[in-house]
Amino acid sequence: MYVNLDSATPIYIQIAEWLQHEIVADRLQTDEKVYSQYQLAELFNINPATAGKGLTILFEEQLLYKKRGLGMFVTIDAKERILTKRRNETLTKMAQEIVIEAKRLLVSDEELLILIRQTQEGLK
Amino acid sequence: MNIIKCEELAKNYANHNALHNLTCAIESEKIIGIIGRNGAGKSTFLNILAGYIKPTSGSCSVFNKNPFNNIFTAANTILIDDRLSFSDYLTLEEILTMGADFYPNWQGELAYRLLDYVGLPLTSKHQQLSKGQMATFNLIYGLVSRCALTILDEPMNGMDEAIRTDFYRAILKEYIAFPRTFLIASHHLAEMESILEEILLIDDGSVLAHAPVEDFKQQLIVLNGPSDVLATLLADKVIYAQKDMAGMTLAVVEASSLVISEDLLRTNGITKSPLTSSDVCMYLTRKKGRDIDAFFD
Repeated sequence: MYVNLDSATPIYIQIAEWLQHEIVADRLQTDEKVYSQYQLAELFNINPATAGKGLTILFEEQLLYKKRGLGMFVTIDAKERILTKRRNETLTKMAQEIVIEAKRLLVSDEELLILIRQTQEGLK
Repeated sequence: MNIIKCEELAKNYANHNALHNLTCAIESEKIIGIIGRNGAGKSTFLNILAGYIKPTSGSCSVFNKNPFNNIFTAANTILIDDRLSFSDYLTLEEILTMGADFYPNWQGELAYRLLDYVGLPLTSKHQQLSKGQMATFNLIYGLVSRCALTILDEPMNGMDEAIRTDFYRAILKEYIAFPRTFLIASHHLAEMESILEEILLIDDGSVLAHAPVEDFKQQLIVLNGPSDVLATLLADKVIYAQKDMAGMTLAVVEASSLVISEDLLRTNGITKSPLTSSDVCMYLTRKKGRDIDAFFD
């Protein structure tokens, strides 16, 4: 995994997103220790303070908890919280964008629904 | 804790003022990029911190001491630049042996391994190295000295891209292994940005901006939208750069000057996009009315 330095997304947010991705993919499980800011810094070739900011985001969203002197660990319902949040925010936003773009392209509502169904079939 | 504190620092030479009113505070154990145009005063500033130059006025403290002619700060500070010179008669190995005598945290083994990695023979004479090799050796010398204040002035000049990439990583790894304050002056902000914690932008002999990298980057934004809408929106704002074409305007403005919601921007057909750190530096330091296009009109 590389961080994209040219991306409009700040590096620390990319780190936070990557960690969430790891939790969703079960590569980081409940009560498992996550990478320290120094490990993340080495892994992604970034300043440890930047990596620390990424961890702080997850801690503030209560996806991680701290054990004094031991580091940060994955909260029990972290995966569920991430999935709910993504459904409510990311997916809704993407749906909005699709609907707006379809309108721009003069695609009717029925045609759009058919397209989505076809795409679902194609990915099965 | 502040490792460096400068107040109203000035350095005047016979025919120009290199620094004036430079005020800054730098916390210890951070990697800080020192950025500025040619002749902005970066090297003068760094040489004052290292104790090589005496400021004309103002105060400068490093480790709570005046660095000029001070043995304590000298032993805990290293300045690596392309003027660093060693005796013509010494081999690289002899230079490293001397370094071990002077710097208490010296990492001799690491120096040998790095020299071997880049393919520099220990028996070479410093003066006979190519420009890039000399820069590489000097940077290795600076890294293995593990000084609490490590100042690197254009450390990568003349190095090829592969070595530069390796050594940015070497700086980061050394920093993690042995946290210390790194000040790195460079014109290649984009390639070192990811390992920095803060950017200190010097312009015209004083500090123009000093902030964590991400905050620094976000202080300016680009707006793109219909010219008439943007003209009203930006009527009393400072515009750093502007381009008009076919009824649309691109404008670079301060993010803080824009007190308008995302939704309102969208309904007005205005898009907002970020700039790179290098672009932010360029716009902040560009002299008013100095547009290269103007010279060709």
